[in-house]
Formats: sequence, C-alpha cells, structure tokens
Amino acid sequence: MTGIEPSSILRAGPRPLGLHLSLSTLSFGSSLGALSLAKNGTLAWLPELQEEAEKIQAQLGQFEVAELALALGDEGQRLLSQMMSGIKKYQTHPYLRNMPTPPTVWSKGSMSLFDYGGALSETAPVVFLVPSLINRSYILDLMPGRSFVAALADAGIRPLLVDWGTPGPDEKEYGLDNYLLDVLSPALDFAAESFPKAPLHLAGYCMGGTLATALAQFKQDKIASLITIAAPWDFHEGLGQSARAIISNPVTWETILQTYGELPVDVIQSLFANLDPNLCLNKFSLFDQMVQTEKRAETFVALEDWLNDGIPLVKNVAYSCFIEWYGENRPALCKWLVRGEVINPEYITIPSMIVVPRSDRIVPPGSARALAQKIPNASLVTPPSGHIGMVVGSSASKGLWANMLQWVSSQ
Amino acid sequence: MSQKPDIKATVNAFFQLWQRQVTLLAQSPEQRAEELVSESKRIAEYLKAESDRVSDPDTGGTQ
Repeated sequence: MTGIEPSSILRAGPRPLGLHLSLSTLSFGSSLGALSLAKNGTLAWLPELQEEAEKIQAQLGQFEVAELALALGDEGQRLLSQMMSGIKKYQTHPYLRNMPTPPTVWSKGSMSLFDYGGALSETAPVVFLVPSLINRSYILDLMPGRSFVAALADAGIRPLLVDWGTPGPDEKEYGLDNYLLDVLSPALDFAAESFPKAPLHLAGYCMGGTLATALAQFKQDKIASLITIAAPWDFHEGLGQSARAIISNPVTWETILQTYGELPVDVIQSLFANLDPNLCLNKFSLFDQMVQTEKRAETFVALEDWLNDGIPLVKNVAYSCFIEWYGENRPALCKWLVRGEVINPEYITIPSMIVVPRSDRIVPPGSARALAQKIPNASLVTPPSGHIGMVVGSSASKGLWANMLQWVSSQ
Repeated sequence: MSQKPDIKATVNAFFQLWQRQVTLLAQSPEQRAEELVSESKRIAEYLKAESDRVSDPDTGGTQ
C-alpha cells in the first residue's frame, strides 16, 4: 500500500507514450539478440565498455545460452512490468503543482512578463529571464525549495520572467525576428524604464539564451550584463553529419509543418526521447519503487509534468531552428540575420557569463561553450550537473544559483 | 576452482552494460550512430542464421 488513493487525475505522459514504450521494448529485445554474441565474444562493444564486457563474458561463459536467455527474459519482464506500473502510478499521482502566480507586469499576445520581485526596492538588481520557446517557464519556479526565481528574490534580486504561453493567433506567423524585436525587445525596454535605478541583467536558459545573445547585441546600452545558461550556439558541435542531414532535411519539416501548421509537442518530445532509448525504462522502474507519498516521488511527478507540458513551436521558428540553426549553423558562422542585422557575439562588449553544465545531454557542452569563445572577455562557469538538474536539482543551490548570485552581486 | 556466479546477477550485469552501450551510441555523433545500425544488422543476421539453422530439416530441424 502506498497510502495514496488513485485519483481522478489521468496524465497522458510520458509523451509520446507509444515511442517510449517502443524504445524500452526495443532496448530489452535487442539485448536478447546480443546475448549470444556477448557470450562468444564477437559483440562489438564500445572501447570504453570493453573491459567490463570481458568480465561479463567470462561469467556468461559458465552458462548455456538457453538458460541465460530464460533468465534475461525474466529480468526483462520484471523491469518492463515495473516500468508499466511506474507509468500507471505517475499517470494517477495526486500531486499537482500549486505555486502562486506572480503579477504580470507586461504582456503581448500570449507572452506575459512575471515579476517575482515582490516588495524588493527599486534599486534591487533585475534579472530579465528568457526561457526556451518550447518549454514552460515554470521550470524556473517548479516547487518550494526548487525555485530558481525564489532563490534570486530571496537574495535581493528581482527576477522578471518571460512566460511565452501557448502561441495564439498573434504568433502563428511569427519568426525569430518577431519574437526578438517585437516581443522581447519592448519587454526589456519596459523593464529598463520601470526600474531605472537598478542594474538590469539579461539572462537566457537553453534556446532562451540563444535569443538573449541576439537581443544583447541590440540592447547593450540598457543592460549591465548577459548571462547565457546552457544556450546552444555552435549547432554542429556534437552532431554528426548523418544526424545533421536528418534534422535539417527541409522535406521532413515542411511535411510536418504543412500538416500541423506548427511543430507539435509530441514531435519535439520524440527528438528528446531518442537521446536516451533507456530513459523511460530506467526512470519509471525506479519511480515504481518509490514510496509515493514521499517528497522524492512528488519531485519526480513535478518534473515529469513539466517535461510533458511542452509548447508547440510556430512553423517559421521551427523552420529557422532546424534548417538555419541545426542545418546551416548560421549563429556560429555569423550568418544569422535578425531583421537584416548579422548577429555576431564578438560585438557584445558588456560583461558576460556563459554557463555550461558539465553533463548536459540536451545541449552538447561544446555548443554552449562556443559563446564563451566568441564573446570578448566572457566568464565561463561550469556547474557539475545536467541541463535540467542545474536549475532544479538537489545541488542547484550550490551550483548555478550560487554562480548567478555571485555574478550579479559582483557587477 | 571459482564458484559459479549467480545467473540472475550475471544477466542483470549484462543487460545494464547493454543499456549503456545503446545509450552511448544514441547520444554520440554520426560514427557511433552508424555503429549502432551496423551492430543491429549483425544481430539481425545472426538471429536469422540461427533461426534458419534451427528450422532447416537437413541440419536437425526443430522436431
């Protein structure tokens, strides 16, 4: 008994469920196929796994293939059952995020600017935070104790958080230029005008950092510093030629974008799911073992809810991201034009902090580090965490949050 | 003489290592993705050969 009654909540995640289940089953099924090869030593293990593979081969050699296959089948069945049970527990878990919505101080179309500064003085430093266009902003305010914006506010810094909302009629035809110059730019002007006595720092997380870099070039006279957090810049770093060809194939995206009129969340989620075919199997088997009333289980659900609560990408922006960024690598080659102006980080002369988490599996560290190499005198910070753990993980307060507080207070 | 290992622990260790192989290949640039495809083909060919061998009446068949 978990002590939690199945609720009326029914989540559809992890999204896309069919792909996650297929990948998990495939991972297990292929292991059955690889078993004989591993036993007779003809499986081509990766060099870094070779030593361990030899030890396991010696152990496998003491059994018949048939009995190994049977035991592996049992193990796989146990894991897959645990995963299914974990998914079911997640889908009906009673936790619901219940964080207060901060005041909206500026808005345009679907975008709102949230002020988390509360009663802070007008001279308190302001951090204007830009999240990715494909994820909800509340990852930066996930739950009590795991809120980046609350940590900033508690330290006397006023976070102004961009919340993109879901693209509506106003944004359907938007391109990156519109998001940058028609939404972010006036919002930043508003922040500068509202707090004229406060230093204004521009920060962007993930794709929001890529946008913030371009915005910084236009707004250097208004901001005290630029902070990019795991922001991709060299889109060919860590991406092989085949992957690049697949991602940047215009036919693929045109078909999807013409069919749906946007890039649906499930397609975006599929790209992330393929980064680790074992993720669903491992994390939901683990979740199945958790005591469902414990904080750890609630944190899992909160994070998983956020992961599955993505935002579709409007078609022009999707096209720019896949063709111009991933395909042609325009930002790194200084060929990215925003309303006719070339974006070149070398033009950014204000102090800049480039945050590159050491174990980022979503944005290759080399891609984010490229900004530190291009922006003159940029400070490089490398918290010992992953792309998401860096902002909400149990050690976030000693990593990114501390880096941020130190940076803002030192400017 | 060494003691025979526990079969459950053995297959568990093998499966975990296999998962790491799949994950590393999936996250790596092109060359590794190609290795993944080539390895999958090899496994498929091996399984087909095994299946053919077992079901071939001239080599003993399944009966």
